[in-house]
Amino acid sequence: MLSGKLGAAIDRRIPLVVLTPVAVAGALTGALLGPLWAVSAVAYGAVLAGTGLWLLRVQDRRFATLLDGYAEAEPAGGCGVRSVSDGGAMALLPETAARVNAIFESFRRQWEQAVSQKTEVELLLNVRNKHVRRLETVIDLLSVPVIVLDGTGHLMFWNGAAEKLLPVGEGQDADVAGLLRFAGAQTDAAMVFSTLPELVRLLAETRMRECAERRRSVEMAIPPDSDTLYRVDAAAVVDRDGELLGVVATFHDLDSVRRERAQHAEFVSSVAHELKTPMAGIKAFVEMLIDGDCEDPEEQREVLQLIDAQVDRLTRMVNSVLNLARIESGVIEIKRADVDLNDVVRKTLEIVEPVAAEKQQTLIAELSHLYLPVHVDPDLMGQAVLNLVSNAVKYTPEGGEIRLRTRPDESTVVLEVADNGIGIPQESLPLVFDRFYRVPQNERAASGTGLGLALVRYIVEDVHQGEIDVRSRVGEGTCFTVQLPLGHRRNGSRHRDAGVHAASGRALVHETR
Amino acid sequence: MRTVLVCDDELYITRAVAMKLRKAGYDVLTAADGQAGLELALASPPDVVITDYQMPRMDGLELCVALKKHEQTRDIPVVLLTAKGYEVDEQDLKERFAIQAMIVKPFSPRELLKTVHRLIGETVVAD
Repeated sequence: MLSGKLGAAIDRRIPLVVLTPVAVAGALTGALLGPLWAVSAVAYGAVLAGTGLWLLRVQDRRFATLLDGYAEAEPAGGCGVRSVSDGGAMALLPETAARVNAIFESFRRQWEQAVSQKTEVELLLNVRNKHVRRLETVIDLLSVPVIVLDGTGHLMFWNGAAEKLLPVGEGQDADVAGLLRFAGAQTDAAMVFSTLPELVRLLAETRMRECAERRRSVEMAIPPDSDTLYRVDAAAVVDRDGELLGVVATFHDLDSVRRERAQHAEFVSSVAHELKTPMAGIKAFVEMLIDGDCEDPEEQREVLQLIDAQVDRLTRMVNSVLNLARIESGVIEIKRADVDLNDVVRKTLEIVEPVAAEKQQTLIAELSHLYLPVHVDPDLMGQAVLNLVSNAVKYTPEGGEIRLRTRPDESTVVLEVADNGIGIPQESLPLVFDRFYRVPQNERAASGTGLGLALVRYIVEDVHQGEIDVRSRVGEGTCFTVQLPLGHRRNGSRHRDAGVHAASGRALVHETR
Repeated sequence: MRTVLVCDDELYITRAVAMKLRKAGYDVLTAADGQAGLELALASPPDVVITDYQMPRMDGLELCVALKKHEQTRDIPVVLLTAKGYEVDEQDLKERFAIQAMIVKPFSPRELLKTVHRLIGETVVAD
């Protein structure tokens, strides 16, 4: 009887009592460590439980032997305890309790170990997440477009440059765009890039290929119908066992280098041409002075004045080229001050009035009667306004009209420079602010380096966070509109803007919490 | 007296060339673009035309073409005076537009005068 009860107790109760913490330890470890670690944690729990079971089995057998001894003694009818041949059951019980204790102790140690391991894993995970975040930010800020696919061909990550170049999230139908906006959404790359079948093929082939060949380059036009050629490098990412983890693709603009060089050459040639013109005058007159072609003092004086004017012109040109280079490269210190935009415009008018008068042009200033508070570098802004007005003078025939208007608008201050000159063809309007660009039809109307408006845009938009726009009609005239942030002491720090940009990573796979 | 027509949109260039040629005894006509130059040439054909390349309304090459179209100006020798030295193929331009000489800016008025003398085939002694 005793044997039955005890046996049952040993068979059921002890395993239940002992196994519960083991299983809970395993399960808890698994649950706490999160899905990524679940598999290893479950395995770990299973090992714990297995060890426990094995230990129990050993003990179980010992108990069974022990109780068999009792059973053998009992049939005599007495319930007195007798010694058994191996030293006696009663003597063995404390020993068993101690062993059970030891087992518990061992479980406790393992439990503590598991908890400390869990903390360690969590720490590692935290470090890894920070690392991933850093890498994501670095990739996001790269100027080279990068996209990352997982092993099943789903889009995992792309950077800002890729977003600009590729139809990621934009230009897609609402469903795909919607899917992409949700962090962690798994979207088939083939679906996202359906407009770029060559890219889809490249990505698929890179995934399928054997390890040794899992790096491919293909040249393709992006967007597909354009003539901007990109070299796309795709590489499979594999772990140590050659298991596919994903595909990384980078995009290299093949035309940009060539375009940049051509533009540079064009710029140098255009600047050189512009410099040669006043030099030609200086050279000619100086040689004639040497040759004694101008003996009359009056004529000599006139020639010297012509030389002087050409030297001034040369200086202005060199300065404008240097100015652009220095402002764009950030060498020039920007000195902002709280000023009235009307004052900046008035100072510019003083410079340009004689030039307009020379062409019998009417210069009309319709300046706002209100104080127009802006926080600008008065010299740079003056340069921008001067460039706009002198362009108006240059590209407006004699007797034309140039009108300057200023006014406050909701949160901006507006300056308009309008003329009734030769105008700009519609197709040239988007290009007029590009460096070196000159409207082909108007090239003959006046000389220039194609730098004036590029500098204006840089000063208005990049230095002062303003906006510039142009409207024009051939033969009717042109109107440039400048909008500047209204108010004094605006802290439009560009550093802060950069920070915001850096933080807007486009990760689909987020940190595992 | 021999006449030279000078076309350039930079007034001080025409001024310098005209001054040099007048000192050498030439009669000089000036124009600020190809169109004005053509009109002058048709009205009273000069012995030599000196023209800039890039000009408003009608450029130097268009002027060459236009001159060839008219009986009275067809045989007038043309000198191209241009800042586009390295960008153009001199031989090709000379052949295609029947240009007799090309002088690159900045230029020597002395050399220009020699070229004009050569083209006219005689030396006019300065007074």
